[in-house]
Amino acid sequence: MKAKKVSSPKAVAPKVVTLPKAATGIQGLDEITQGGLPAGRPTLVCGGAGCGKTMLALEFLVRGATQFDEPGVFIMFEENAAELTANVRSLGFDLDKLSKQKKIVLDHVHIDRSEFEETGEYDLQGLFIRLGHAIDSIGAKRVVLDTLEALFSGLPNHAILRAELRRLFRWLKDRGVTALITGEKGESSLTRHGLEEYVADCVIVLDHRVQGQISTRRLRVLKYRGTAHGMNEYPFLIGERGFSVLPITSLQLDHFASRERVSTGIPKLDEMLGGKGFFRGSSILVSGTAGTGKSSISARFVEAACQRGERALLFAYEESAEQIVRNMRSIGIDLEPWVKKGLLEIHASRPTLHGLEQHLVLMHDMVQRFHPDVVAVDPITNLTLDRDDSEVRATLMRLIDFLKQENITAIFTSLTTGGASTTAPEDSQVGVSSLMDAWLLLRNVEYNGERNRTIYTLKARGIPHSNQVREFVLTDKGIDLVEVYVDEDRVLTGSARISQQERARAALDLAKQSQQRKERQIASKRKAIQTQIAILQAEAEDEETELKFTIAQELLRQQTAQKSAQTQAALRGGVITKSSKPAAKS
Amino acid sequence: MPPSDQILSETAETARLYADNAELRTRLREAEETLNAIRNGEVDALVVEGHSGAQIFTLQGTEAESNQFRGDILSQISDAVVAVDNDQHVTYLNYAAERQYGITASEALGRHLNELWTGEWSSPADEDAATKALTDGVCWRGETRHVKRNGETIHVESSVTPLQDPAGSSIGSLATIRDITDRKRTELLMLEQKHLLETIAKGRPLDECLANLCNAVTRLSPRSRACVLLADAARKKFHRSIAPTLMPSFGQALRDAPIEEESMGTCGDAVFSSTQVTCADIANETRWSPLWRELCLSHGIKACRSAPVLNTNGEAFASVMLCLDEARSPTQWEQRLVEFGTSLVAIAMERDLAAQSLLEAKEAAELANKSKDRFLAVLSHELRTPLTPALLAVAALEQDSGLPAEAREELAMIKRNIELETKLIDDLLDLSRITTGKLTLNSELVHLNEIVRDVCEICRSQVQEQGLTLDMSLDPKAGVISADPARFRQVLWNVLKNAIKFTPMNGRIQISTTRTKDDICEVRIQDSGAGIPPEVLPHVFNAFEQGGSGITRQFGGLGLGLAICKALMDLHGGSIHAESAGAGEGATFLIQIPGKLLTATARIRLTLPDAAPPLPSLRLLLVEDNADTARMLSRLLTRAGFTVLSAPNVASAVAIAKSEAFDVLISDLGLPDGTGHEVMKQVRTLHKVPGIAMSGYGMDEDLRRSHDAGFVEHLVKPIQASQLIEAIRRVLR
Amino acid sequence: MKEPDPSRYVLRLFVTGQSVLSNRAIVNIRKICEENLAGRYELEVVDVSKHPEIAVAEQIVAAPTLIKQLPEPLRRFIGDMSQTERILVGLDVKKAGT
Repeated sequence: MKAKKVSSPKAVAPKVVTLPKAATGIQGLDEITQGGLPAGRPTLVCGGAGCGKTMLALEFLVRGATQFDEPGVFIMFEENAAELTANVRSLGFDLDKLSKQKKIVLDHVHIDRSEFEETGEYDLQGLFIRLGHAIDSIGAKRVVLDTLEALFSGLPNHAILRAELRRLFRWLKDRGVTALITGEKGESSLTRHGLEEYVADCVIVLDHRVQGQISTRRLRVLKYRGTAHGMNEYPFLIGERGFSVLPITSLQLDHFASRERVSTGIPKLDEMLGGKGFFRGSSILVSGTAGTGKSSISARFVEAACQRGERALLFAYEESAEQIVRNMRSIGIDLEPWVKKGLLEIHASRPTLHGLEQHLVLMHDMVQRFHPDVVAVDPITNLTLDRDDSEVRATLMRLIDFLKQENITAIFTSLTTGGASTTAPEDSQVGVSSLMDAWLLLRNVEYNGERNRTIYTLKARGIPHSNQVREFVLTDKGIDLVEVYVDEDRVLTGSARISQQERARAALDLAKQSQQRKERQIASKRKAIQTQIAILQAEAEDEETELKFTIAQELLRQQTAQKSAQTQAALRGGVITKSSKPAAKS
Repeated sequence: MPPSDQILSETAETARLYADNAELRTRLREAEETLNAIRNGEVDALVVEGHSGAQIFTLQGTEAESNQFRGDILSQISDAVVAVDNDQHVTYLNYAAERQYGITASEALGRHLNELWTGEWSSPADEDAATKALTDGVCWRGETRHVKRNGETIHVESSVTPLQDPAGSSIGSLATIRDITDRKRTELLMLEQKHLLETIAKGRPLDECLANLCNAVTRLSPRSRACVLLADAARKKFHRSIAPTLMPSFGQALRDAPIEEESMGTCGDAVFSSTQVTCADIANETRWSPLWRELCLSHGIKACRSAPVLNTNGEAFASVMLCLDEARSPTQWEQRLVEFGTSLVAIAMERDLAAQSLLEAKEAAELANKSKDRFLAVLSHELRTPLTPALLAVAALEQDSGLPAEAREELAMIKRNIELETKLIDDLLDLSRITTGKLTLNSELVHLNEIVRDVCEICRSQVQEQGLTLDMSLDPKAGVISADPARFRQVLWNVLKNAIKFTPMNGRIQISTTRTKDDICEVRIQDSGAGIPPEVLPHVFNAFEQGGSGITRQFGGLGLGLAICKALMDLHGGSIHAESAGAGEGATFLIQIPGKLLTATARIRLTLPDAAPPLPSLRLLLVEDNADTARMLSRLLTRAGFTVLSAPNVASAVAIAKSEAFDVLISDLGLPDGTGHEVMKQVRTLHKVPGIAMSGYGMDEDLRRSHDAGFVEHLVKPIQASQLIEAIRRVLR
Repeated sequence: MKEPDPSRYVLRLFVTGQSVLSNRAIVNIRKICEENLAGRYELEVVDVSKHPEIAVAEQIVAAPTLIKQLPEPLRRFIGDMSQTERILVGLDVKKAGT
């Protein structure tokens, strides 16, 4: 007898049912929700007054109508059409035009408790009919009801109302429209009248906090049935171009690494960087105390980019655009023509105006809009005030990653304070410096009654670079670098943390130090360097030079011991600790 | 409060009550779960068990939804549904009712039912029954009519149910009303169609059928009038119009209307294009000529639809036009009427054509038949005419006592042959008259046995000549039959003569009569003759067939005798059969004829001897152009005691009539200067005398013509003197 | 322009299709009008499901809705018009003899 063949069951892969989604077109929101709101189903957006519910809802409709060919209906219960149209015109949403193009229908549902009398049973079929009519008139795929809860104050019979709302949500699902319903935050519940009961699919909570003088807007996806979604609170911004959320998601390091080099605009500096400048798409940190020339370097970098015909974006948090243009002109950097040409945009704002996230969102937004080749942020430190470091780091990382991905060369300046002398300046920047591809240190050196600027390349990934200190000269003709004489301070600054401690001790006990001890210090430093990451290994070849500087310094210190001790305290600074506050701002 | 909210609050209350009792915490948890489930919309219905049993609450539907649902159901019913309160104010009507009565729900609600329609009851009893049903709180169902607001009447079948609130008191009634107008109309249509088909089937004239059709259309649709236009053979124009419901001037104007591409009106179009054509607004139909528009409008025709009537080749040969008195497209019903019209016109026309061709065929056949008859008549006349003087001469000679015996024998031979010749001619003529049904019997009651005896007597000499034995066995109860004695005698004589002819010397012939049943008399003639072979037996009564060609040669004759017998017996309602065991076995002929039992009176009258009173001395005017015949007749009649005045033609006959008195006119019909008819007519203007016609023509048509001219008797030549004397006797009776 | 007759009522009832509520409201209001305003009212019944644009223009949300347009002031009633007394008071109907 033939054995009955038992066919092995087909491997049935668990079907991953991806919910159909309606992209919102809103910056960042689609990333958080992995594609948008649940298509054909209602989503509740709730939050307190002024949190941006209406804006989110409206942008959802406008983008739907303009980008995804999904016409939308906006039923408003509080504002009227004219008010709303006026309110969003500044964001570039022309509702009048969209209405005329039959892409959007606005209907203001006005209901006033004082105007009518109840005389028996009723239902809200009138609302259904208006909604249905509006949907049918343009073939709408999206619907916004803003704010549905207004009905509760308008209609006294909440029993009827609740029954009808239940019917409404079912009706919306039946119609297959992607609906967005806004609700006012309640005291103990998400919405004042418990709208969340009716919407089981997706709930988004908006929050607007003001801490100190700084306002922060945040968005959180509280619930999204059938979709993994970021649970974090994401900062968002209502900017010039509308709603923008900055999702802090880690990008993979898969961006394209350019081999192209970009000139810094300063030939001597380029020379220090293997004669060619930085890699395109790299991030450069320029740190230094006040007045060391950070802004000048970033300005020159920007100017040079524009001269090459590239587009540049300069974010300034210390001076106004006019001030920058004027001041830079004094050192031979003329930005104005580029601004006029449209190659350069300068965005100057008070850092305290928004929280860090807001700024980052704004930058993100502008970069996306302007598509620059070069971005300068001057200074980034101003944005990181008052923040938990890890948060700053994460947010900055996101921005830097984003810029890298866009192959934008970015230069960030960082103000170091001269106050804390115990910590090396480079150490203070570890928070962000590890994100950077290159790091230029600027320092003021007072010598012989003269205050000089010096520049030093601390790190430049993938670029053979000089470890020499150069003097950095600002003239009305521009920026130049010149070779410097041996300077003991420079030697010190070129050292790592361990050697710095040694040197700190030596500074207190200069007279007692012997040549032998110095040599021991060098040996120990060398050992320390060997254990350091790649940045410091590159410096090994310059160990000998450093030794010479040490000797020279010893000799010098013997001559002016007293004075040197005082000066060192002032110059060895640039240490910024986590909790430190800037001693001064310009 | 909608049920769902009620339940929510009740469930919450339950939860609170149970919360105090630790033992009931489980149930509290259940209640909470239920509550949550309800809140999450996971529950469709809730079964609540209480003292009074389980109650089911539906949470799914809100009030509006259930209303919507109910509305949807009712709106989908194709019958009109109307609810009224106790004051007959409308509280509900569905979409079908809105459509049926041409009113929207928002117009109708709250209004009195009378504002929707007025009911027309077929009988007061119906109305009473409906009223009673409603007051008794039971349903009523029946058919009635509704007059709608627009004046239109519809036939409806309605079912009315009383409505009660939960407490049982009446809150009105609900009616489901089905428009059965179409059904009623279809019934009417079928009825009209039946009548029309009957009219057509009866072969009524086409115009009548079509006029009936037009009238039927108006009966079926009072605002429509129909008109039928028939195209001529070339289909170039209309040559006939039937429009009884329109003014005659319209029909006249349509006659000879051309059929062409740019036809006037829809009819021409319809026939030209073989398609249905509608004009929904004649007043604004610019393609029509103003003349034509004006014609229609002046006859109250505002719109029309025409359909072609096609023959089997698909050619349009007529058009049916439906005229409307308002400018609109015809309704479906009206379109149906047009089709109804075309199909009936097609049937009527077809029937008419068939009847016409049938008539033509009949006429042709009759014409052919007539000429055949005429030919036969002429033939027999021509054959007979020469015999008449010969026979008269023989008769005259016979009476001559001075004639030598041998001459007398020869004379008898001459006479026999002349009679045989005459007989053959008579047979031929007879057969043609009988087979065409032109022979009418002069039936009277006669004794069967007497006739049989007569015939045997006639044949006696021949029987003796052939040395045959003739046995007669006559049943005294054979009684009386209704027959034309001459014709019945002819049958018997033929059969007997046949038997004699085929029976050899010393043979035997038996003839018997019986009354087999109460009403059938039978004559049996049996011979011991040649017999009939079985293969011939079925054909012996067929004309010109004797027992094969050999027999014909042996015995002569045209073989018409038995055919004539058969035809005559059929005419008498009797029958004749032949039996034979085969060749040489002899043959038996059976003649059956309906018999009658006579009443005593009839018997007496019949048995009275036919007294032949002597004729008074009469004066006769004999008009005969054939000098031989005239002389012979004159001699015989004079011998019989008459005074004979002779005239050879019309002119001299009329001249004699003017100068002489006479009692009977005897006239040949074919005269040199006219006909015997003319003589009769002229004589009758002078004297009231009876006339006897003599003619070689003996067809019915000839007899009728003679009768018309005033002759009482028509004798066919050759004529024996005795016949003529008998005729004279009859005309004077 | 002719002054409108102050005793003349112009009412518009907005209903939504053939719902039970709609039907009830029409029946009820017609009855109220016939009994109290016979001969001096105009009642227009508007089915907003057939004319949604009217629902928008007249701000109809709840259904049925009755709007008293004349005499001034304009007033709205929502519901199935089953609370006759409320309507009569709301309509300011002065019954004869009272």
